[in-house]
Amino acid sequence: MKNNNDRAFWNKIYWWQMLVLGILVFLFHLLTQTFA
Amino acid sequence: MSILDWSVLFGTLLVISVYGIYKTYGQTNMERYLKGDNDNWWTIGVSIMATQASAITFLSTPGQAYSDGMRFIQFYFGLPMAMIVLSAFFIPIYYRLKVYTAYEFLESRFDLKTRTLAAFLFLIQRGLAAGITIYAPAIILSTLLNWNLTFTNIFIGFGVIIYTATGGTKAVAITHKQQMAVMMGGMILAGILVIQMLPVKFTDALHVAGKMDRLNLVNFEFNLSDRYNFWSGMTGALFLFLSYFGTDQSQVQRYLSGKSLKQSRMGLMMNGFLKVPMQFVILFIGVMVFVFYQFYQPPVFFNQVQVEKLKQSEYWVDYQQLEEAYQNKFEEKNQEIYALLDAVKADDQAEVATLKEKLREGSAEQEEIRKQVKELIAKNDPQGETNDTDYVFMRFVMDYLPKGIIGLLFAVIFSAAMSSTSSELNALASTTTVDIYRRSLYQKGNSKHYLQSSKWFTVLWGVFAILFATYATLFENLIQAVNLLGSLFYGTILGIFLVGFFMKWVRGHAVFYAALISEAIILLIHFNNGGELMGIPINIGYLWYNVIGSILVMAVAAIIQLGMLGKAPRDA
Repeated sequence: MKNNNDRAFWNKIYWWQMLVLGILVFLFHLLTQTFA
Repeated sequence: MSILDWSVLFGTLLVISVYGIYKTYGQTNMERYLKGDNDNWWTIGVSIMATQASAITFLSTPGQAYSDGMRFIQFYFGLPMAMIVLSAFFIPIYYRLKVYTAYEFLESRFDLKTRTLAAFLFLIQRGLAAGITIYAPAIILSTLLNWNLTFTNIFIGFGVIIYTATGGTKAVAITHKQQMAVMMGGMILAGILVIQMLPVKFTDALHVAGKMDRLNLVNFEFNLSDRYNFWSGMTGALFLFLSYFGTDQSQVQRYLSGKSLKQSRMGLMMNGFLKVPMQFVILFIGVMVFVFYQFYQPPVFFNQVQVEKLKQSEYWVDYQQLEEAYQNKFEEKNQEIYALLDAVKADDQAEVATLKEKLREGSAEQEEIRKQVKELIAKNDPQGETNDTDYVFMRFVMDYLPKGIIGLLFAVIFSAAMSSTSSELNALASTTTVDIYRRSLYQKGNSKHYLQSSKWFTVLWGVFAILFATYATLFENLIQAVNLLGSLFYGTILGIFLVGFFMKWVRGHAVFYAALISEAIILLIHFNNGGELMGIPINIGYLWYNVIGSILVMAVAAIIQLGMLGKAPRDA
C-alpha cells in the first residue's frame, strides 16, 4: 500500500516537472515569436 | 578596481572558505566524510546546481547570448527529463546497495573489472577536467585583473583544497550554499542594473533584441548539423545529462549525501525545476548587455590586453582606422534602431521589415570590421586569443557597473570556479580511495586509515589540478582534447550503467568487452569526423557521441551475451 502511494506521489511530481518544462517552452516560443 | 571592490572580492571568498573549514574541522567519521551529513533536499538541490555552474557558465553564457542570442537554452530542455529517469531508476538502486560511489554498483551488478574500468575512465576524464575548471577562468580572470596566471590558479585552488580536504562532502555542501547565494545574488543584481541603465523602456529593449535575432529561444526545425534546436536538446542533451548526473561521481556524491531516498529525489527535482529558468536569466542578462551596447559605443574588441598590445605595434594606425569605421557604423545603426522603435509603435510592418534588414546588414558590416581587427591581433601576436566572447560580460561589468558591485561580480566568477572544483576534488578523492585504493591496492586498513587517505588524495588531486592549469598553456592541443574527453567517454560509461539497470540478463564479461569495443568505435568515428570512414561520410556533432556510445554498448553487450549463451538466455 505504501509503495503504491509512493509511486503515485512521484508520478505526480514527474508530471509536474514535464508540465513546467512544457509551459516554459511555450512561453519561450511566445517570446521568440512576439518580438521577432 | 577600487579598494571597495577588492574588499568585497577577498572578503566574500575568505568568509566562505573559513566558514567551510570552521564548520567541518576535526572530521573523524569516514562515512560522513565521503557521504556528507544527511542533507535535506534543498541542500542537495543547491549543491547539484553549484557543482554544474562553473566559472565558464558565468563568463561564456552572457557573451554567447550577446553574439548568438538565447538559442543555447534549448540545450537544457533534456535536463528535467534526465532528472526524472535518474530519480525513478538510478537513485533507488544506489540507495539499496548503500554505495559510496556510482562505480561500486557496477561490481555488485557485473564484476570488479567493469567497476575498475568505469572508475578509471572517470578519474582520467574528471582529473584532467578539474585542471581545466581552474585553468579556463584563470586565463580570463588573470587578464582582466592583471594578475599572474600561476597566482590566479593558486588563488582559485588553494582555499578549495583546504576546506575540501578538511571537511569532505559536508564542507562541499556547506560552502555550496553560500557560493550559490553569491552567484545568484550577483547575477540578478547585475541584470537589474543593466535593465535600469538602458535609455529605452523594457518592452522597447525586447523589441530591439528580438528584431536583431537575440531572442531566438526555441527552434522546432529538425536539423542534425544545427547544434541547438528543440530536438537536439530533448535527445542528445538528455543522454549527456543522464551520463553527467547519473554516472559522474562529482554529481552522484551530491545526492547520495541525502537524509533519505525521498530527500535525494527531491533534490534532483529541484534541479529539474530551476535549471532552465536559471540559464534563462544568465542568457537574458547577456541579451540586455547586447541591447545596452546598441545605445552606448561598444569596444571593437572586448579583450583590452590584446588592444593594448596593438597600441605598441606597427598595426596601431590600421587599428584606429578600423575603430573609427566601427564607430561610424554604430552611430548609423543607432539612428536606425530609434527609427525601428518608432515604426513598431506606429505598427508599420513594412518599415519594420526594411529597418530589420538594414540593421542586419549593419551588424554584418560591423562583424566584418571585427574580423579585420582579429586578423591584426593574430598578425601582431600569433599566440594571442582572437575570440573575445568570454570577455564581453566582465568588460561590461568593469566599464559600467558601480564600485562594490564589480568586486561582487568577480566574487561570482571565483565562487563558481571554486564550487565546481570542490565537488570534483571530493569525487576524485572518494573514487580513488573507495574504488581503487581500498578495493584493489590495500584492503587491511581501518576506517581512520581510509579517512586519512581520502584527505591526502583530495590534496593530491588538487595539486595536480593546479599544476595542470599552470602548465596547460604549453599544451594548447591538450586542452582541446580534454574538453572533448567528456563527450568521448560519457556515452560508453552511461551505456555500461544502462545495461546494468535495464538489461538484467547481460553479465560482466559481455558488458566489459562491449564497452571496450564501443569506445574504440567512438574514437574511430571521432578521428574520422568531417571525413569518411569505410566510404561513409561522417559529420556528427559531439552531442550525438553520447547517444551513439550508449546505444552501442547496449547493442554490442546484447550480441556478445547472446553469442556466449549460444541462444537467448533462460534467466532473462
